[in-house]
Amino acid sequence: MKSAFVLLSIAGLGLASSVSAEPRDTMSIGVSIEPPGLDPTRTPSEAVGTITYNNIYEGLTRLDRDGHVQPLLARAWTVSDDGRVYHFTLQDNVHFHDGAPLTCENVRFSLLRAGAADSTNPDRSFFTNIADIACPNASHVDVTLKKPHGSFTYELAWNDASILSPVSADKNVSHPIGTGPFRFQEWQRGDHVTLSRNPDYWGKAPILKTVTFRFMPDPLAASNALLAGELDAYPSFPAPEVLSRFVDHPGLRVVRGTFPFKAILALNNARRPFNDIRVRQAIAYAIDRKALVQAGADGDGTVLQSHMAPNDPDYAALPDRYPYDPERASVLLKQAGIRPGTQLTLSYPPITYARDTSEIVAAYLEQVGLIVTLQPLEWPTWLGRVFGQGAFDMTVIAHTEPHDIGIYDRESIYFHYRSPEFHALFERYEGTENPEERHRLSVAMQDRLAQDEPNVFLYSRPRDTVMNRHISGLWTDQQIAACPMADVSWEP
Amino acid sequence: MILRGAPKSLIAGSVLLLGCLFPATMAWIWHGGHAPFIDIPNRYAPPSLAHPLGTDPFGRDLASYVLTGAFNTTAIALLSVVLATVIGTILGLVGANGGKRGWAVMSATDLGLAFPPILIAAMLVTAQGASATGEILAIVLFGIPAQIRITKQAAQSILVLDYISAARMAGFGSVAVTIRHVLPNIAPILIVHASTSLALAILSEAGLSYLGLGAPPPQPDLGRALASYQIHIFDHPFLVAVPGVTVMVLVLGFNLLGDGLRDLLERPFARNEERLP
Amino acid sequence: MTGLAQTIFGRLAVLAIASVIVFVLLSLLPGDPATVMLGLNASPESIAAFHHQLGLDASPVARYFRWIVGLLHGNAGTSYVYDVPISGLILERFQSTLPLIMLATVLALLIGLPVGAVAATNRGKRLDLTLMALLQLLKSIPDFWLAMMMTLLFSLTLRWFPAGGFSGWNNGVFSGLRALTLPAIALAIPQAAIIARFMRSSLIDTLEQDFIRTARAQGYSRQGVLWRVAIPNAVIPVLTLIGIQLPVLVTGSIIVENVFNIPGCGKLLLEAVNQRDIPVVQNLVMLIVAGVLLLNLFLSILIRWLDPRLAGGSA
Repeated sequence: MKSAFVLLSIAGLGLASSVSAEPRDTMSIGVSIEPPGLDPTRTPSEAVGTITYNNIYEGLTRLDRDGHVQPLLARAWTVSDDGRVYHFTLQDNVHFHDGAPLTCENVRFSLLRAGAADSTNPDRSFFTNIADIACPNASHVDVTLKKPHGSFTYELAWNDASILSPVSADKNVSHPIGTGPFRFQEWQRGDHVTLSRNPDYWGKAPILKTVTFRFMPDPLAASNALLAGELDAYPSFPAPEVLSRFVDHPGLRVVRGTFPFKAILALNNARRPFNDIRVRQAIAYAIDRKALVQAGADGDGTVLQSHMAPNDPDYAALPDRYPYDPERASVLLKQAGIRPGTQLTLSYPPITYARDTSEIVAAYLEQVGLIVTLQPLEWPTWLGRVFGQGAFDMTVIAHTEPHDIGIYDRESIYFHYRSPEFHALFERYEGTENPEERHRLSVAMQDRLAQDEPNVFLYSRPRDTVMNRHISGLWTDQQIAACPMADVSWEP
Repeated sequence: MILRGAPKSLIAGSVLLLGCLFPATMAWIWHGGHAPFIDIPNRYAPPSLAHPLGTDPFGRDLASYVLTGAFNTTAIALLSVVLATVIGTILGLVGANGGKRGWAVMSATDLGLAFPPILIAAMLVTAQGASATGEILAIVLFGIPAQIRITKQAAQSILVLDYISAARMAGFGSVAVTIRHVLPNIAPILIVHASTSLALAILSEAGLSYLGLGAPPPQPDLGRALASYQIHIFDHPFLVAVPGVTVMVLVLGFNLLGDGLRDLLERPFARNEERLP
Repeated sequence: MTGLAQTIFGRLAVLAIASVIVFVLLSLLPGDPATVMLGLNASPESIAAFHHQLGLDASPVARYFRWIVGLLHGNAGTSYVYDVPISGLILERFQSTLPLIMLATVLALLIGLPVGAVAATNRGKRLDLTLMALLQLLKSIPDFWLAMMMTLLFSLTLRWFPAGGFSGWNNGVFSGLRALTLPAIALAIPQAAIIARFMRSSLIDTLEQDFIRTARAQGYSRQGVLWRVAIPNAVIPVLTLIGIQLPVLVTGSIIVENVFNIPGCGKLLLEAVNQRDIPVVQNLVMLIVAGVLLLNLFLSILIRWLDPRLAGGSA
């Protein structure tokens, strides 16, 4: 047996060195979650965007790596004085991967479909404000809104506002077709999705020939694969405590970037006892969020005071209203009439930060006399029961959408927060295009949330990308769930 | 024949089990069955007087956490084996007495052969979510067929003996015969089997909870501890070594105990050590 | 041959009962898949359409038979999560699981049989006692922990084997085998220990049989008797053991695939459990159960053929 091992290992070494001698035009990227399908208009999953955003699909606008809105399929646009009508001019010579040309009709189809009554779009509310879409000719689109909406072109840059072809839209789950620089090649379920260069791309041709996204949820397996050179990069590496393994590695580097990660302890504001603000405040006081930063972000994170991540231009560094104070928590609970021994359920989805954070939160709440039952849920159950129906007590979840404070104004939001004050602020925010006014109102909204504490805002953490030293062009900051590969290349 | 070794394995097994389960029970009582309290600032502490094995990624005392986990793992395994033994023995005795019922019972054992605990647990978790009950059910269902087979074989070897026929002729019914004569005679075999089954049940329990098909948190558990500590295999290999070795000690302990008991109790029955599981 | 017919009939009956159990547990118990599939704000119309599309509006009995008939035609339905045919998904995964289990079985036999034979022929001596103690230890190691420890040593410290898992046969048979070797060893070692211990007792039993004594008395050499008569006879019960250990091996492969990140059936099963992809769990479990039962049937036929003495009883 021993000699067989040696033989095998020698052969393996030979294979590895012969591969690295060739010029490379392929890249394998590790991702932690396999998407259930490749259609961003159907699933609210970050994993879809990582693979498809501006690789397979494109929208009228896009976000650049700093989070600013840039033209994409819409070459240019103008807005009417009342802020209700947008005139878009489309790029020329854009074709879908199946050869069909892009026309105004595709835009009309895609946006109306997203806002339709039976739409499954995760951000359907973005599109229900559209009153009408007119097509004066094939390359011009006129969108009329019901009421002015300052974030419209920003929202058009989101993943779920991708422009689709009516022929292929329903099959995008398994055979995605868009206008992007990469075409879908294959999807081996449970292992990888491979994209290949689109030779007919309308814009600058991508540098890599093929890109493989490999699903590696286990940080240990992922770090092993990176160290062994079987994986070229892993954006958004899920376990900060393992990063030390890469530091001394000659071929790898770790880049610490930012992303709109907002871990919260969501509370069901429609249910007793969370409908009492004293209870919500007590829970906030009972949890040492600095310790959570240490555990969840290996010390390098930020305690959140509201629903806005520090990398957001509108982020306000609010004072800490709820420092760790278990005695104060007990007093508040007593005032609210909550007896020690009260049973609460904490549900969480199957992902490392949520599991660890839940376990810690439960331990802190037990210190102030609450009995917490931990309830691990699988993704479909969590999405259906907690996010979909809002049927839960408490849940730990990280919102990673950029600039999504608007969810606190949604009627169907799962944590059932209702506040006329917040609603008024949000209306004024969306009604104006003035940047200073918008910033001021955004800070006011953050402060409102910090006062009401509908959820306990826990922490934000940096985003770590582990990658081969020779890779250039990869996004290391994440404004939106995305990993655009068109500009990524191997450097000598 | 290694009779000289027999008492040794009994002693070795008992020592291993006592050495592990006594402190485990103490730790479990001390912490009231819960995980020891988290202390984040103190995580990854090296071994010290206060924390003989250091602390884990949550700052919990590793020794108490693993010992409490060992208690829970053993408790689930023990409960499963007790249930499987009781049910399997009754069915095995029914099977040994033959007839239509006997045939049905023996077909059921073939059925059990096809369903390893992991498949039962996978189905139960899919249908109902993870729970300790589901995990116990999975281990019990897998344990029953082997228990039936062994009971039946042992019982049949007794039932053919002359004095059983004599008892029958004296007017005792088959239930009475079974309880008065068969059960006491096959008890040693059942005890030995229970011990080796415990070893297998602990392996199953650890494997199921490692995969997330076992009892859900927060009660500490050896398999789950391994699953959550495994990313630290490089920077803190101790975290992975301690629960792994604990599982091994428990399994080894019950295996050795089984070997020792076999040599001690079954000498009149078996000349040889190994029997089909 | 009535004994054989009975065995075959018995196993097929068991298979049928198993399918009913799987169906009841996974098709009837979990409730309405529409709430999972359509999720968020599904309208009653779309739920009804969904039910009709999946045939969920039929009676349970009709659904059961449609499932079985479909299975027999190689049509296992559609995955909830991926929306692709399940048979394709499973077939894809079998390409890693089957070689893994075969490799592990071969390794377990290659290690277990000789070690057991050596122990038996040195019975009671120091070598035997040492081997027995070692085997007892190996039998007690949890396979997933062994797998972790082996990755640490062989993949990450010594770098003999790849650590990132098995990525299919596209890079050649050799690199595929190389990626499967470590998982197969992790899977084989506890099995080898069990086989070795059993082989030892089986051989000791055989050596005490009358026909061996007769052969020796007739002047055959000790070695000749051992190799030509005793060992072949001792191996037959080991085949029965392998049949009984099959479910354990399957369990081990499911765990090891998850530790080593091998995209096989075991990983598919766990992914499907985690995503509540009920049809995939249902069909995969059924397939594994059928595989175990049929292999078992095959083994008992093989044993009958090898050992005519057993023709009367059931193996």
